[in-house]
Amino acid sequence: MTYKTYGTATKEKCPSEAVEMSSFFNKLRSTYPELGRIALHIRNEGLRTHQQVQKMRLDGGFVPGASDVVIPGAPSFVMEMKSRAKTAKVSKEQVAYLEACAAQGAFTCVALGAVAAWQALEDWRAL
Amino acid sequence: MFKPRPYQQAAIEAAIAELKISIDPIIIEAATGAGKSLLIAYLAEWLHKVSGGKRVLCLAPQRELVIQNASKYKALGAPCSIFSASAGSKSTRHPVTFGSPGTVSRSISRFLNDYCAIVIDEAHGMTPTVRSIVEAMREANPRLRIIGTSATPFRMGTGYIYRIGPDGRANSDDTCREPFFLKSVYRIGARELIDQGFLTRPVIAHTNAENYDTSGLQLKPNGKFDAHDVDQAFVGHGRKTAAIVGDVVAQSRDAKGVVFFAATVQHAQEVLASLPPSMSAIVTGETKDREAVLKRFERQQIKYLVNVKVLTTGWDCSHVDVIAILMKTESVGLLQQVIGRGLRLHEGKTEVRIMDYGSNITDHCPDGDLFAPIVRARGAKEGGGMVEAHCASCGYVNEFSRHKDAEGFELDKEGYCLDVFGQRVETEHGPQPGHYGRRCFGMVRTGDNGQHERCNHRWTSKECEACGEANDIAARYCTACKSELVDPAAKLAFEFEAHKRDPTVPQTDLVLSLETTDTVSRKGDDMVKAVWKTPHRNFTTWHLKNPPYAKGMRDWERFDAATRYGPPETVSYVKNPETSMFRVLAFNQPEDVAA
Repeated sequence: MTYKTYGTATKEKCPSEAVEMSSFFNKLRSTYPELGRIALHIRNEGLRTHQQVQKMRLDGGFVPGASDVVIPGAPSFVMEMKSRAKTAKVSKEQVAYLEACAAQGAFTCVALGAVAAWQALEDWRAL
Repeated sequence: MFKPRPYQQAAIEAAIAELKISIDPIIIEAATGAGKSLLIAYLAEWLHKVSGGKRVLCLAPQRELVIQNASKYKALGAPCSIFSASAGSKSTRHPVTFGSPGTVSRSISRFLNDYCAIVIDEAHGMTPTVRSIVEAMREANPRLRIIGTSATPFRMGTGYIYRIGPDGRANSDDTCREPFFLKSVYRIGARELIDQGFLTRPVIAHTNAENYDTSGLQLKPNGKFDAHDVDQAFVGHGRKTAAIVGDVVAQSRDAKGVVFFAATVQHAQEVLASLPPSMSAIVTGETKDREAVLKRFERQQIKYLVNVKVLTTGWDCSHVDVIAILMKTESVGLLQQVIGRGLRLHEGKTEVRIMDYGSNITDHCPDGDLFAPIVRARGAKEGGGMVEAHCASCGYVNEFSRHKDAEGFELDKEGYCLDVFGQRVETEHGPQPGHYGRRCFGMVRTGDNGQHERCNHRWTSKECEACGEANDIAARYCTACKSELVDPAAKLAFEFEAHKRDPTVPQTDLVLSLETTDTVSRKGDDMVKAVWKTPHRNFTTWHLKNPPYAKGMRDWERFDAATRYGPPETVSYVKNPETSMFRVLAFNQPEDVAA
C-alpha cells in the first residue's frame, strides 16, 4: 500500500464528511494562510445526469476517484477525506488515484476525520 | 358599580406599570368575553386622574362597541362623551370620549389639545384611519400614551401586532412583521377564562355529513380566497348543503340557539331553504331589519340564525350553544372570533358545540386546540428547526430557524457554526451563522421617556465604508449616513449591463460579422439587407440604394463607404420600440465600455 491511513473509524455518531472537510479547511486557512490560499478541494461528489458526466469527460480533467484535497508542493499533499463512520469506505478508483499520485512522488494519505487530516498535514509539513 | 375580576385587576396593574415608565404603545390581550369594556373603562379613568385631568380618547371600530364601552365607563360612576356619527352623538364635553375612527378622523382638530392617551379597542384592526388619528395626536403630544386591547392580536400576512410578549420574549420576523405595538403587557386567553369559569367550554362536535371540498380554494396574493372559487366550493351543492343542515339540526335538538356561518349570500339562502321556516332567519349585510331579526333571536323566538360574516364581531348573544361553520376562512383571527360568539355564559348552558364543515379547525388548529392557532407572517421560512442565539450585545436570547447549510455543525452560544476543532467557521464575510437570523430582536430601553429601540447587533452585516455602521446585508443605503452601500465598481458594471440589454438606447458594439444581401423594397426599389452580429445581439437593417432624397442618399453613401471593403470595426445603432426596426447611426465609433 502506497498511502497511509490516519485516524480510526467509530460506530458512534460522528460529523458528516462535509463538516469534517469544512473544519479542516477552516483550520488550514486560520493556521497556515499561505497553504489555505493554494489548497484545492476537488469536488467530484454530487449527483449528475448521464449527459453532465459525458460533458465533463469531454471537457477533460474529469478523473474518477480523484482525491478530495490536493495541496501543490514538493512533494504535493494528496488526501482522501472520509468521515469517521464505520460505513465510510475508500473506493477502488480512489485507491488507484492515490497510488498513481504516490508513483509521481506525492505525499498520499486517507484521513478519517478532520483531526486525523490535520495530523497528516503536520506529518507532510515535517518532511 | 363593577368590581374587576382578578385577571382584570392584574391586567390593569400590568398596563399601569408599563405606562408609568414608557411611552411606547402597549396592548392587552384578552379573549372574547373577558370583559375588555371594563378594562378600557378602568384604564381611561386612571389615565384621566393620573394625568391631572387631561383628556382620554377611546376608539372602537363599530357603533355597538362604542356604545357598549361608553356604558361600561358610565357604570363606574363617571360621565363620558360619545363622538360617533353612527351612534348619533358628536360630543367632547366630558374628559373621556368614546368615538369611532371615521367620525373622529373627520374632526381631528378637536382631539389635538389636552389629550394624554388613546385607547384602541379591537386593536388588531389598526386601519390607516386609526393610524392617522394616532399620528396627529402624537404630533400634538409626543408623550401620548397608546393602549390597545384585542382578543386576537394578529393579522393575516403580518402576524402578531406586537413585538414583545407578556413573558418578555420578542416575536421574530417569522411571526410578526413591523408591528405597531411594542409590548403585550398582559394575556388572558379563552382557555384560562374557561378554566376559571368565566366562559363556556367549546366542544368540537363530530360531523356526520360530508364536508365541503375546500381543497380547490387557493389564496390570492392579497391573502383572500377568490370569490369564484368560494362559489364553486359552497354554492350549488343543494343536496350536500341539505345533508349538512340536516346533520346540524339533528345534533342540536336540545340546543337553544344555533348560528350558521355561511360562505356567500347565495349559499346562506341555500342553508335557509333547508331549515324550518318558522324557526329560522337570515342576516346578511343587506338585511334592512337586522336589529329586529337579532332581537327575535335573542328573545329565543327563533332558533336558527344564518349569517354571512356579519355576526363575527361586536355581537353577543349568550344563549348560543351551537356554532355551525359552513364557510372557509383564511384568517385564524376570524375563526377565533366566530367560535367566540358561543362562549358567553348563560343559565343552563354547559358547553358550546362547534360544528365545522369547512375544514377550518383542521387547517388552523391541527392539534385540535382551538386556542393555540398557528400564527405566521407571510414569507416566513418553513422547517429546519429552531436554534437559540444569545446576543453578544444585549444578552437577549433569540430563536431563529436553523440554516439548511449548517446541518451537522455544532453551534456556539451566539449561534455561529463550530468546526470539529471547536473554532468558528470563518468565511470571507466573517463567522458563519448557523441560522437565518440577521439582527437581534432584543429591545433596549433608551431615552428619557422609556422608549424601546431594537438592539443593533447583527449576525451578518455589511459595513458602511463612509461611517463604519453595520447594515443589513441586503441594504442598499446606510441606515446611519444614508450613503450608498453598493460597491461603485459593481454598480457601474451593473449599469453597463443594463445599458447593453436595452437596444432602444443608442449602442456602439464591435462588429463580429456582417452579411449583406441585395434585395428590393415593397415599392420595387433596390435595397440591401444587412445582418449584423455583435457580442450583444444579432439584428438586421435595411438600406435603400440611391434613394431620391438627400438624407437617404447621405445614409446610403455612408453605409456603402463603411462596408465596401468589409465590415466596419464598430456599428452604432438603435431600435425603434414602436416598429421594432433597427437603425444604423454611425460606423467606427469607439465601442461602449463600462466607465
